Amino acid sequence: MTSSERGISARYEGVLGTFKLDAQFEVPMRGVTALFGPSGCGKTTILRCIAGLNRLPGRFVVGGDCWQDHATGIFREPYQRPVGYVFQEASLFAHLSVRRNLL
Amino acid sequence: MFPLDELWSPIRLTLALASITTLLLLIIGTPIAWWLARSKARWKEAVAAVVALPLVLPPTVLGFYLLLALGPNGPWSLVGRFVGLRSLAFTFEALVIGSVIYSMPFVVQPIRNAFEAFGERPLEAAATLRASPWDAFWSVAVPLARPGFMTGAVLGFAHTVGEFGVVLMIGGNIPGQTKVLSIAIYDYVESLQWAQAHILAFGMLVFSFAVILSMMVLEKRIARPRA
Repeated sequence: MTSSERGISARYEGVLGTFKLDAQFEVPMRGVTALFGPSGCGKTTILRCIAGLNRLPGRFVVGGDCWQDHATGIFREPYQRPVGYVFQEASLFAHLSVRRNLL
Repeated sequence: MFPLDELWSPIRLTLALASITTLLLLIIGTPIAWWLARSKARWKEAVAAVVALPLVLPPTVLGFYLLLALGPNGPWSLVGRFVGLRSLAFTFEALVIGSVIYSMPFVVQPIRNAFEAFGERPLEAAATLRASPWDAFWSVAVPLARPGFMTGAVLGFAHTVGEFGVVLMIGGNIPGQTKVLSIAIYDYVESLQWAQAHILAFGMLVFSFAVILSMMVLEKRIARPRA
């Protein structure tokens, strides 16, 4: 196993509407990692790809655990990925109370 | 006076038909509405058009084709041979099948609109909270679309109660079996029994008004933000 496979390794390359994303990066499995850049550069798209909300050709591995591999067709659905995701806009469930939204 | 039972029979039959039809339409219509709201298939509008067809088609046309399909020489007879029912024409079951098709757009359209109204976001949020698609459908999509379900159910029920052409074509006029309200009224007028026709017709008038009114009140209530 290479060192990169022990961390988080991402590679996305594809087109979403008129937006072309081409990104590759490696992140350690500890601490806090920030993703920054000018508006429209693809930060949200990358995060959505990691959460599995968007599906772009590429490969995403977390600590040796493959979540997505375009070559072999592996793709974990969003609900099968242990990630927490905070949307940019408030995304509360309108049919639930404040308490039930939190629990 | 005339026997009350003669008046009750079509009312009971109509209520049974409308209830069964509404229930079936909620079961069949929900997945169709969901697919129409979520699918990106290019031919989905063609499916939507088929569902909406009874809106513009003369009921007699629909009834005519159903009569052919359910009759002793239609496609049904191939299946019916195994069930022991060679022909479904002029039975209560035929009325149910006809009503389901005829009232389909009135149930599917409001539910589809409701599914489309809340967009992708609540479902995405549910998915990142690790709700499976099945779980998200029942705990997020259905509650959010509740007004659509209520409107669809009320419209489907009321439209089935008011149906005449399709029933006339495939139901015949068998008392207690296929003689529903609208047919009974027609029958009474034909045979100049005005009193009976008056009772049923006025009852329908009151019923229809009550349905429309309660739906409007209900919609207003739901539209108000939750307390």
